[in-house]
Amino acid sequence: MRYLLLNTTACAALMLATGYAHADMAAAEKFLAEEIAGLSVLSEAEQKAEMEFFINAAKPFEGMEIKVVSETIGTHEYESKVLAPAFSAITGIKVTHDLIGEGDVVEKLQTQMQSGENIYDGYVNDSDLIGTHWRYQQVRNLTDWMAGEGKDVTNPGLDVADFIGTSFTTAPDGKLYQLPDQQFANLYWFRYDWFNDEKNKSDFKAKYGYDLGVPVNWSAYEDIAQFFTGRDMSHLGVEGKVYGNMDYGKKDPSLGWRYTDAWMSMAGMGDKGEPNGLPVDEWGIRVNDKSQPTGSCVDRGGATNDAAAVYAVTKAIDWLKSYSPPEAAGMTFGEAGPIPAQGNVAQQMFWYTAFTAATVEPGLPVMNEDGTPKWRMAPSPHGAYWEEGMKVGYQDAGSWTLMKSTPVDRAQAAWLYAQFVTSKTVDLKKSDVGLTFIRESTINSQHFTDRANKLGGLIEFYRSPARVQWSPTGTNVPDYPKLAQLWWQNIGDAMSGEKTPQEALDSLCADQEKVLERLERAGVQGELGPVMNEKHDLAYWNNYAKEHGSVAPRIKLANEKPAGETVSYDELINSWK
Amino acid sequence: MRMHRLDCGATLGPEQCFGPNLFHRYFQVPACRSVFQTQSTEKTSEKTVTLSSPYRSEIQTSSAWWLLLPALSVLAFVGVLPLLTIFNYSFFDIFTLESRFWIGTEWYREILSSSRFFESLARSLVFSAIILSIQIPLGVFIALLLPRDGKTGMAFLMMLALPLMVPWNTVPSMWVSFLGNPAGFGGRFLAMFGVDFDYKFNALHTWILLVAMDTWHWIGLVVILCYSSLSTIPPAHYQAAAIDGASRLQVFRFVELPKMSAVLMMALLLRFMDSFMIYTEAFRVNAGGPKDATTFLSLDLGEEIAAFNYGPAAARSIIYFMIVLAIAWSFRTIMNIRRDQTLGARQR
Repeated sequence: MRYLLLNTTACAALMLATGYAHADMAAAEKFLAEEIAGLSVLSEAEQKAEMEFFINAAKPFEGMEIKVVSETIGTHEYESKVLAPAFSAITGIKVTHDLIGEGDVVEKLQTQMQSGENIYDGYVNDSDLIGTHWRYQQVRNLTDWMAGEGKDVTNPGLDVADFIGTSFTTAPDGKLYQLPDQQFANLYWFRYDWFNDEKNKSDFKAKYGYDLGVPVNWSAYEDIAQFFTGRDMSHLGVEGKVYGNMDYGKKDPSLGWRYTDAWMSMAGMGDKGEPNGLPVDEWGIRVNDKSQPTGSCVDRGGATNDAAAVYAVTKAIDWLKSYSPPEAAGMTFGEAGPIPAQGNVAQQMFWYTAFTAATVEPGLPVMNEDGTPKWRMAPSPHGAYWEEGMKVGYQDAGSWTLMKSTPVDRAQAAWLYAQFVTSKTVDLKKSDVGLTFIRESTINSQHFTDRANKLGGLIEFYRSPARVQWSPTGTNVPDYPKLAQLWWQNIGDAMSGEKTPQEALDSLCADQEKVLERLERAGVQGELGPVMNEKHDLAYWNNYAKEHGSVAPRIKLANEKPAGETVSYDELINSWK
Repeated sequence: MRMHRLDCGATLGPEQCFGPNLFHRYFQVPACRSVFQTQSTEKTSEKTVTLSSPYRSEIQTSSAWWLLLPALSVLAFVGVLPLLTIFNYSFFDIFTLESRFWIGTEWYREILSSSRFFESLARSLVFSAIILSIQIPLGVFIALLLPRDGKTGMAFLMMLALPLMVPWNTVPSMWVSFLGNPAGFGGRFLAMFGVDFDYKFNALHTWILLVAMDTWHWIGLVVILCYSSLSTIPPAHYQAAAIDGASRLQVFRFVELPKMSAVLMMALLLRFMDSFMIYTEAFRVNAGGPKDATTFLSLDLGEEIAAFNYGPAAARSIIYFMIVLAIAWSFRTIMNIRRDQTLGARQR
């Protein structure tokens, strides 16, 4: 409410102060009437006031042509095709919003970082790179920007506090480096209709001794996977073989994504802490008190190859082999994505909410005739090593990033566009199209209260306080592009059986340390760069962790399969309210 | 014995050809005689210039070098400069261009002392050897089968050239969907014969797929090259061979093959270099798998580039460049030695 008041006051003040910009107001009014059409958290007068800010602030840049870039997902397609032309018409700044693959975005950004040549005036770059941006200091920190060079072009109605992802884009120095533009999380996905079927429930209880429900831990997930795999589901009209798990295992760059996203911390690798484990994060990289990375292997205090990591990879391989469709082992991320919607999969541990829009299409085998889904999403279960306070999942936060190598005036114009596509005027409409929420005000809007039952739990998740436990890669990772590249090859070796999980992870952590050592040797990150620890054995580091009140690296648990634990979905939803 | 020059490409000794009698009769053909005539005239005139006016010739030579300048500068810009840049990068660890860290020959030592490098090298060499041993004979064979007359031959050539126009990214996607079972036609076809074609997990199948794909993509090039040189053989040569009673094999060995040798050399080099550096197809089909069975040199390089490791990537590029250069040079040298030997044998 406070924000709303502030915002209203700011907008009203703006309206009084700037009465001369009516030349472009026609385009703005047309946009508000035809495109937004009331689907906004702001009143009509507030929307107009916000538009007036953009018109006036853009005056010095009229006629300028700027280029921005983002990955190809629905939300950005909407921005590129609808919002960018509208912004150009309203402000006179010609925006070309390019859509390319996420890997290519990083490549362009990397090229600009390494060469200092301005390629794009603005980037929507995943906040996984926050550690990279903070350490290389090639990105404008927005806190200083908004108070300095960007002050005149910062929307008084921006309301940074309304963004739900700013903790991910803030570096250890307390400054905001990126502004979130779209977010999605990974959650547990399951067939609500199968789980609520009386026959399934009683059979499960008879076999495993506890209720069929949303698994709280990996033991329950495994039991449920085993229970459904090959089960005769004809009493629910399901044809063909049914599987208890869905995943992908082809050696391919996409194989690394899930592991660097959250899989290891879900198993319990790393330390406690939000948004990421400290001092050891979900990549197994340890940092010291000054946030300098100090190692990745167990012998340097890291956790990339500790018992929890081995457990995480071993389980993924076991489930892929025993409970997934046989083709899954040869699939990539893109090929595996649509499989659950085909109706023969009971649950999936790691499901990206970016698939929501594609999984609620009418006519799919997983949809009811009334347009409600037969599936639901819920928090992913956690592994045997996981403890309260650890990261439970991943949240991708594609965020506006302004490079220092971009000339100031171009950065200012790009900053105006960035604020336009994330403004309160357009955010509700944009979220309605792309379902990638970034603003508290949008999540809590009446519109999504009305739409919630069609979205399988997405709104309930975003409205719950638990959502902050889902986070992107954090600041322990000093060079995301170089380090992320190491994962798929090594995980792929484990998946194909070429190496045991332990061997693959030993090699992975050694590769990671090699990059850290190179950074240390070159000294390119200065005071923020890696300083490698001396080598000691596991017992030393485990004691060290205990003395300092942390847990990683871990010693192998005697029992990696504790009793299965489940919770009823409806109870879970109530606990979120 | 003197050599008789049939044309600018191939040389034949009379005994090895169709027998002495017909051979002499053959050289009564006016067209062939004119070749001799032209050559001797050229030689005489050259001699005259050199003898009568040495200064003028020098001026001509140096001005010719000046005329080469534009071409040389373009060559330097597109060829030498990038190579020098890469060579320079290979001695640094590069994080940003402003902050390069000198490390000397570390990348070279690291690459050349890793077993992975030699394994990949061996795979790449085997792959190229397979490709060449299939594509060159097959290309020649198809070119020989094609009718030499205008329209039909051209139609076949165009058909064969079609795959050359398919973008590299599309080729693996096409083949993978073609071989998919049950979605792909090829996959279903093979399944009918009980062949479970599993390019994802069976190394032999991945290799077969890559070889088949590369052959489909590039065979057109070899055929076109061979066909072009075959079509320049005057009918008189065949007539002479026929009159001599040469068998089909002899015609091929002594008329067609010598004629094609220069062009085949080019095809061999082109196909070697491309197959040795195969990337897109191998990466898209199985990303070097299963179990690294198709991890070629270029895939290792691709990984370095994807991780923005410019220093190691540059060092790899230089090493690969040297390998290609060495192999191409030895191809050429071997061919030259063989040609000289043949010439020598004939002259004796």
